Amino acid sequence: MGKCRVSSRADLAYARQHARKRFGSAACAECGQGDELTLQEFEGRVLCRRCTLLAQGLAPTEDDHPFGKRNSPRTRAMDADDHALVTALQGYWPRATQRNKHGSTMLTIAAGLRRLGNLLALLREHIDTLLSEVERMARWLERAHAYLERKLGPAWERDVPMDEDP
Amino acid sequence: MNGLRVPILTRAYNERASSPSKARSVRERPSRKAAVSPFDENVLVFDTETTADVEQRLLFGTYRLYRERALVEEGVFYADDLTRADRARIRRWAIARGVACCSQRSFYWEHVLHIGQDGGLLVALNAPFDLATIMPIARPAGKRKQKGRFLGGFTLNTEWTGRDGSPKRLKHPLSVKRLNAHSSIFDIGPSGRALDVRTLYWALTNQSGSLATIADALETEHRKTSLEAYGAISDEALDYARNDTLVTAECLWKLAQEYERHPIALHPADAVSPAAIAKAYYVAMGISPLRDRFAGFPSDVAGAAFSAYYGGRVEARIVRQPVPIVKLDALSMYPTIFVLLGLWPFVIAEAIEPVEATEAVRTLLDTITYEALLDPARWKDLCAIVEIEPDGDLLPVRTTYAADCTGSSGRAPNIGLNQLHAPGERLWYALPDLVVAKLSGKAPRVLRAIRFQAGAPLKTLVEVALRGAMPVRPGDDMARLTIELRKTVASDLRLSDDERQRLDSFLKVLANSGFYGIFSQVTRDVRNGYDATYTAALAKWRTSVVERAQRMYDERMATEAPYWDALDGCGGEDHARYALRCAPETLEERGRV
Repeated sequence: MGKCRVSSRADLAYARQHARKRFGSAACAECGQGDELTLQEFEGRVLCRRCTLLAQGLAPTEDDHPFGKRNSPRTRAMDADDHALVTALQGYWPRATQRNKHGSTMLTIAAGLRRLGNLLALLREHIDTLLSEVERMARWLERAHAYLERKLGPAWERDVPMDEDP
Repeated sequence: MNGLRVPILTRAYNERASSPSKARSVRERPSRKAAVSPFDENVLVFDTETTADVEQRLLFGTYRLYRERALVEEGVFYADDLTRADRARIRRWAIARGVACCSQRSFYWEHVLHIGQDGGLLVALNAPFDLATIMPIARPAGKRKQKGRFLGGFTLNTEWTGRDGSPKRLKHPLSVKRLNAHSSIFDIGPSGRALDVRTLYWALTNQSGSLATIADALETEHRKTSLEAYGAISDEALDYARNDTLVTAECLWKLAQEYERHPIALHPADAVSPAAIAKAYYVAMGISPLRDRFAGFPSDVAGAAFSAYYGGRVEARIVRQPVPIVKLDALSMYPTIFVLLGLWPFVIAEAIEPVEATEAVRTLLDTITYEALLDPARWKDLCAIVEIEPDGDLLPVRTTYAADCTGSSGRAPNIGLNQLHAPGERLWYALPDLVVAKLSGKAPRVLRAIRFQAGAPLKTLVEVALRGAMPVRPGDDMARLTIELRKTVASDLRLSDDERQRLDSFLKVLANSGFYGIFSQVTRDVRNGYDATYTAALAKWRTSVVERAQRMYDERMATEAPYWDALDGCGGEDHARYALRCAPETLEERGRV
C-alpha cells in the first residue's frame, strides 16, 4: 500500500477512507463518536477507543510517543481517541522517519515536525467546525436581539435583572 | 421476376448458458451498507495538460482532493520526464499559489492508488484521455480482465526503475474501455471508481458537451478560460489548468446535486447513459429485468419475436424529385407508440402468455383501413407477431445494400422497405409492419400469429418519486404519466423557470430512454472472446491506426527532429495507438480540428 507523504490533511482523508471500509458510516454505540479512525469492534459492538477502555474498566488514556516509538522513548498520556488519530497519521509518515534504523537525530526532529503537522491538521479540522458554528451562533444572537428589540423596545436590555442567577 | 437477389439477416435469440439470477448486474442491487453518498467520500478531481504534438505527452496536471464535499488539498503534479528547470518552474508556481506539488509518479502512489484501493471517486472530464496521459503504457486488455469485460479496451500502466535498476510496472494496472462516444468503463482498483463528468452530464441531460459548454449550461461560478499557447509550461498555462480543474469540480458538484434528487440506487459512475438511469428507476420501482422473470417463456416464441424486430429507421419514399412537404412532429414518438400499444402492463407483469391468434390477425389485416387506425383503441390490437410467406409485400428487409449485393463487401447491414419475394420461406414480422404492407398494396399471407397476454402486476411494485418530486404509484402507467407530466410541468406556475426547465429535461430524457431501447438492448457476451470475423476486423483497424499514427509521427519528426527514432524502441507504438484513439475527441474539444 502506498503511503501518503503529501500533506497531513490529505493523509487524514485517505486514512479515514481506509478505516471506513471496516465499519462504513457507523458511530460509537456508546458516545456517538463518528470518526472512523477511532472505531473498533468490542464484544460485538462498534465502540470508539475511549469507550472500549472504559468498558474494560480502564482509564480512557493511552501513552503516546510523540516522536514515534523508534525515535524516542518519551511518552505522555493522551486521550485514547486522540491517540488513535495521531497513531493512524503516524502510519503515513515516510518509512525511514518511522523506523529511523540508525537513530538519526535529524530524522527524530523530522518526526517531531511531522507530529506537529498532524496536530495542526487535526486542530484545523476543529477550527473549521468551530468557525462555522461560531458564525452561526453570532447570526442567531443578532436575530434574537432584533426580535426582542421589536417586541420590548430598544432599551429592553436595561430591564434584564443581571444581578440574579438564572 | 425482376429484382435483386439478396441474403436476408434477422436477429436471433440465444439461450443463456448461465442462470438468470447470476446474469443480473450486482451494481443494480441496492447497497446493504449504511448509505454514504459516493460524493461524500474522497473525491479526487484532476486534469492534465500535454504537449501539442501528435504524441500528447504529459507536461503537468492539477488536482483537487475533496472529502465530504470540502476541499482538503489542491495541487499540481509534473511529468516524470520533465527537465529540472521545468520542474523547478512548476514548484515555484505551486509555492506562489500555496498549493501542493509532486511528481507524476507520486500523484499515482499518493492519491490515485488510495482512491482505487480504499474507495472514493476519481473524476475528470474525458477521463480516458487524462488517465492514459498519467499512465502512458497502454496494452490491449485481455480476456482474463474481469472475465473479458474490458476486451476491446486497454490496460494502462506506468513504469519506473526499481532499486535493483530493473524496470518495474504495476502488477494490477488500470483499465479503460470506450463504450461509445459518450461513455467508458474503468477499473482503477478494488474499491474506487472513476467518473467522467461528461458522461454523467450526458446521462442526466442526453446532451454531450465540452467543459466550456457544460459549465455554461450548469451555470457554475467559474468558467473555462482560454490560453494563447498550448503545449508549453508557463505560469499562464498553470493558472489555466488550475482553473480547468476548478471548473470541472464545480460541474461535478452541480451534477451531484441533480443526481441525488433521483431516488435510485445506482452508483454515479455506473450512470453511463440516460438508459442506465431509466433502468435504475425500474429497479427502484421493484421491476426486475424481463429476462429474469420469464425463465419459462417458450424460446421459439422469443426467437420469433427477436427476428420480427427491425428497429426505427428513416427513409425517403420519393427521391431525386422536388416535392411539397409538410413538417410533422410527433410528441415523444417512442413513448407515445409505447402508450398507444398498451405495453406498460407487459413491463410490470409477473408473466406473459403467448396466445394463438392466427384467424383474428388474418381478419384484422383483411379489414384494416387508415381511418380505423385513427382510433387509439384499435392500436392495442396491433400487439402481435406474425409469420408470413413474403410474396411481393412491402416489408422491412435487413441486408447489406452493397454494389454487388453479395454481402461480401464488408459493409454493415442496413434496413430498407422493399417489395420482398421469398417463395417457400417463412419470416416473422411485427403486426404494424404488415399493416403498412396491407395499406401500401396487399395483405401478406399469414401463416401463424401470436398475441401476448400480460399477467397480474408484480407484487414487488412500490411507489417511487421521479426526481424526488413526481410520484409514480404501482398502479400508474409510467409511460403515459411521464408524457402527461411534461405537459403539467410546462404550465405549472409554482415552479421557477430553472426548475421547470430541469424537470422537463429529465422527463424528456426518461421518456425517450426508458420506453424503447432498453427493451431491445443486446449486450455482447465476451467471456468466450470475440468471433473470428470481429477479431480480424479489430486487427485490421489496429494496424491501420498504428500505420497512420506512425506516418504522422514520422512526418513530424522528419521536420522537427530528424534524428529522433528512439521512440520506436520505447513503446511509441503504444503511445501513438492510444493517443490516436483518444485524440479525436480531445482535439475536437480544443478546437484544433
